[in-house]
Amino acid sequence: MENILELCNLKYRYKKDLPYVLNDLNFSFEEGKIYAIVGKSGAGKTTLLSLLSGLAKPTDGKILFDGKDISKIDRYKYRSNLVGVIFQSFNLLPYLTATENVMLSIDISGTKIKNKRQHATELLKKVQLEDEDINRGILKLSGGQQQRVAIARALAYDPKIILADEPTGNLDTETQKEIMEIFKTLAREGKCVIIVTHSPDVSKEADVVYELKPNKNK
Amino acid sequence: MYILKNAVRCINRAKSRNILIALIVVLLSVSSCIGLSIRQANKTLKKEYQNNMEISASVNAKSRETEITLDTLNSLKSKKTVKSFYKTASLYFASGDDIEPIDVAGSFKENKDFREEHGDIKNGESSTTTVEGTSAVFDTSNKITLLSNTDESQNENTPPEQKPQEEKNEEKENETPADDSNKDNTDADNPQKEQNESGNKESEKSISPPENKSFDNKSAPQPPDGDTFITNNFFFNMASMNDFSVIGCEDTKSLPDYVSSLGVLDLKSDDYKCVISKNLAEENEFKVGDTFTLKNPENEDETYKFTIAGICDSSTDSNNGETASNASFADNSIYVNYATAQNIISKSSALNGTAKTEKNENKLIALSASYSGSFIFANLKDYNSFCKSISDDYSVVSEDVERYEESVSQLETLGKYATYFLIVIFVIGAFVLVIINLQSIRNRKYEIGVLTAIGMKKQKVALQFILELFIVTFAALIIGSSVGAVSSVPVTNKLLKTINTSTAQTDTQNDDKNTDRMTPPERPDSAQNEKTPPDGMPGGGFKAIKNKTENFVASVNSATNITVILEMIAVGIILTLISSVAALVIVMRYEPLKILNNRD
Repeated sequence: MENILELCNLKYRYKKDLPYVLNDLNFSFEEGKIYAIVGKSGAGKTTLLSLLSGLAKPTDGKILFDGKDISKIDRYKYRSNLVGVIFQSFNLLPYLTATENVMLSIDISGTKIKNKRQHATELLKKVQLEDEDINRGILKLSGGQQQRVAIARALAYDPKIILADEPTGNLDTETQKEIMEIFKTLAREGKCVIIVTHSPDVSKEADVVYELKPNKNK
Repeated sequence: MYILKNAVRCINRAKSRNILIALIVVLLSVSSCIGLSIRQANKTLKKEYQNNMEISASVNAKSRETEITLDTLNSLKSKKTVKSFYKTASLYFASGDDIEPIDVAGSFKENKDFREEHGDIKNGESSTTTVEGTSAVFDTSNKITLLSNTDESQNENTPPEQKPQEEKNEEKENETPADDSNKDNTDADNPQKEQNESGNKESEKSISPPENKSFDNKSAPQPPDGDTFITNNFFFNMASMNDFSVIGCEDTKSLPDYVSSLGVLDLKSDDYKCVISKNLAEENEFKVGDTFTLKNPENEDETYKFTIAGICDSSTDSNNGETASNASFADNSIYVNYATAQNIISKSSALNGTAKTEKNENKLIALSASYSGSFIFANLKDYNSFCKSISDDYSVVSEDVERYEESVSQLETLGKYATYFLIVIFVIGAFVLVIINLQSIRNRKYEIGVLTAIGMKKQKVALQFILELFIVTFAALIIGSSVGAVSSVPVTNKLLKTINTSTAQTDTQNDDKNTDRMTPPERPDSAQNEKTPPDGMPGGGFKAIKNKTENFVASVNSATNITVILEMIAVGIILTLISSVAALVIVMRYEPLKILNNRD
């Protein structure tokens, strides 16, 4: 399989006078696989995910999406159409229902779907959200349910890559397993799932594990 | 579309904040609407007057040396800018044997008693009794003294052929009465008068004219002023001898409303029909159809017989106060048509012509009229052109223009304050809105972070915030404008009333002193109705009160029109943009990663 995402000598530091957090990273990611990026706190896991999601720009080096440098792609379009991002704290809009959160993501991406509500409902069902929770306000849902909504939102425009930052960090073991099952399903469907985690249980489920070592990579 | 949908959702979500914004905008809108309406009212009034309103004016001589003659008036009326023109001729008469004037002091009865005491009044007789020591008192006894003096001079001046000439005239024209026939008529009428007294009162009631507020000395004879009375013997004589003024009007527009409303004067034929005041009729026990005679003050033998066609109530006339002579007292004004006045002038001239030229050229014996004219202009522009085109010896006086200037000045003052108020409200309102909006955006920082993190462009996020503000602002603007449109009329009128109260008081005081007989006649009501937009019609309707004591725009009928609405929309857009600028700046500065990291 071809690399959907590739890091070429990727370097990142927060300020000019500070040392690099990420130094010369050369990772490649393929479709249909689950990748776990592990490492100790401060190793730059979340920073790497921010770079991969286009929320931050590399100090040096390139990130290639489908062979194309993402700095050349409109970063809003990249985030809203090409990659799905799942945050540890879900980052859902609290004043919307689960369906509305997914629908908003469809709207932002500009994806032309005839029945957006139906599509959003199907996605929520796919991530195993109960029927009665589909039209509930976000704040009335549990952490696990909110994470499912966040996954559904990330899948709203059918991106090739799913980026997840500690997706099970706030969840109990049972829910953690259920979420991982969803990711496995997505990988089987051909998506590239990149999970930033420090959980051994999650990394065990990954096809490829990249470990960030602070000393070596700085 | 989703941006708008999201904006509406957010408005519903933050109700308290949006209600607060809406309240502020409603207050701003109401204030703005009132302010803008006042300004608009001002503009509409100016435009209306300049383009549509008929202006009535008169021409006065600036000095006594310059005389307004009939030729002067005729030459002025031929100017292109004059839409129409109406003449008024005023003649002064002494009492005939069958009529007594209302005394200027208002003590007709006392005066009568006084005169009877001195053997002055005998029914049907003219007296030559001299009463000494009464020259300082303005009463009929004084008149008689002077008349006797005049009689002496007249006897010298009057040609012997005058009598026969008068008799010839009488033969030719029935309407010109001779002394003898007058006396006969008067004597014959007296018992009938007593019989018909009650009926007479009834007819007075039935023809009682509506209360007049517009007529302002315009056709009443002008009395000589006090200085002239003391220093000028001629005017002294005139003032003291003249009991009545006969006012011949060419058009009903030149008549006071209380006369024209009777509709009894035929303006075309010189029929010697007249309208007299109710008080004069009561004091002389006259009724409609009765006749009376008046004399040339300079020639007692020259008499004219008038038939009463109507009795009017001149109680509202401002000339019913203190006046210099009986003739200038409104109750002693007798209204005839212009043709009758002209007829009298020509006959008097024919009768007295010889005497005037032979011995005393300066002595005026023949009845002569003082003329005044009402010039009607289609609009203010024509009026201004007319003013520029006439000689420096004359001045143009127009109550309409005075009213217009007063009204505009008052409205402009009001408009100026409204503008200041508008600016203050606008600045405070905009400041408060910016603060509320800034605070709101800070509170929604996380939302901005999430939206931009999932790929919504910052511009679109900002657009959503602006849309939210626009929706709230415009909803409030509609409510505020509606309230403002409804309240602008009463508020403006209330403010106008406050401003006008003091002006009205000053004006009333000035009005009492006003003895200008050249004041132009009012426009007819029909003309005004045509020019004034109907109530509630966009464009602003004004009710200009005719009364001199309230000669300003007393009320605004409607002020909020499409211009005001457009201005309100502009105010709304400006306010929203000002407060949105803050939103734009902040949203564009926020980085989603920082926001989300901080939250985490």
